[in-house]
Amino acid sequence: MLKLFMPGLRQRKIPRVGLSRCISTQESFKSEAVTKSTHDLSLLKFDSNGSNNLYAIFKLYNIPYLVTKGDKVVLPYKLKNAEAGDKLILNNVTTIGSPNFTYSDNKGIKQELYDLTAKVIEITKEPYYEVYRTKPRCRRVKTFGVQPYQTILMISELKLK
Amino acid sequence: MPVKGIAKTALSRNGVSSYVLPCHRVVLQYCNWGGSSQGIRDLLKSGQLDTIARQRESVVFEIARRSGHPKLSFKFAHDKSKEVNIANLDKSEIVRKLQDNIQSSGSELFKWNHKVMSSNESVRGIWSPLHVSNENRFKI
Repeated sequence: MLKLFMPGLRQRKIPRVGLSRCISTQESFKSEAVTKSTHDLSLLKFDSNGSNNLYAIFKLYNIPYLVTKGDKVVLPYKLKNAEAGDKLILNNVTTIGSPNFTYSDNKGIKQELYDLTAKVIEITKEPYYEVYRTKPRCRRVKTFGVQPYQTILMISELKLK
Repeated sequence: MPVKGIAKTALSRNGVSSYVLPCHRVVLQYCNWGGSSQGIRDLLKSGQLDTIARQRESVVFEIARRSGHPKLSFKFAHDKSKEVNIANLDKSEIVRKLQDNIQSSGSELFKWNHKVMSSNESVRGIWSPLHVSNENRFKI
């Protein structure tokens, strides 16, 4: 379980074939990792135990979130045009991985390879707190009450197609 | 020896397959006489509440006329409830309070200083420097 092997391309002196697409594998599959630059995700699928051992990194407003199925994602803002109960199809996924394999593409993995959806389960607020602001050469301290919005998503589906 | 399953407690994860809105009942309390209820009286007269109620069919909207300051009370799943004072608020502010609280779960407000809340075990396990293959190990 703890055997991890994710060498970078540069580290192993492999020419960058097929852009940034690669399958990094465990040591025993090293030779395969060098040659594979295709969309064949059968190894990943086999290793993921029916998407029980599967994780994905998706990006939302360019911020990466590493999730598994059933996770809650806490966004520190009110998501635009979304309401509680809405289903979101997350289509900017950069990495999908299992215990031994990783498939990643910085430009985004093709959407026909995976299924990643989230549901907006709650739009709420953070607890009230106060911030203090001062101006130079003025002794007065201004107090502002703040209570920002929060959006909570639940990862409802994560699987390889 | 019989094969035994691994015992695991079930988690209620609203939203994984189906989603049920936690808020199921809203009581709008207003007074017909007091000035602090002017906003909610305007709202009730305008008919805007009908459109809001039609959008959320799973929520029961109840209108109660009682003396005193107006308030909204929300009933959520797991016997949670919340009361919001709407005295002296105008129509649009009341609508905003209504929409915000209907979409919350009714649990206490909290700040989570991480991005993801997970109850699953880590897929990759805990990283250990001793389990890296020899050639990639950090050498002093």
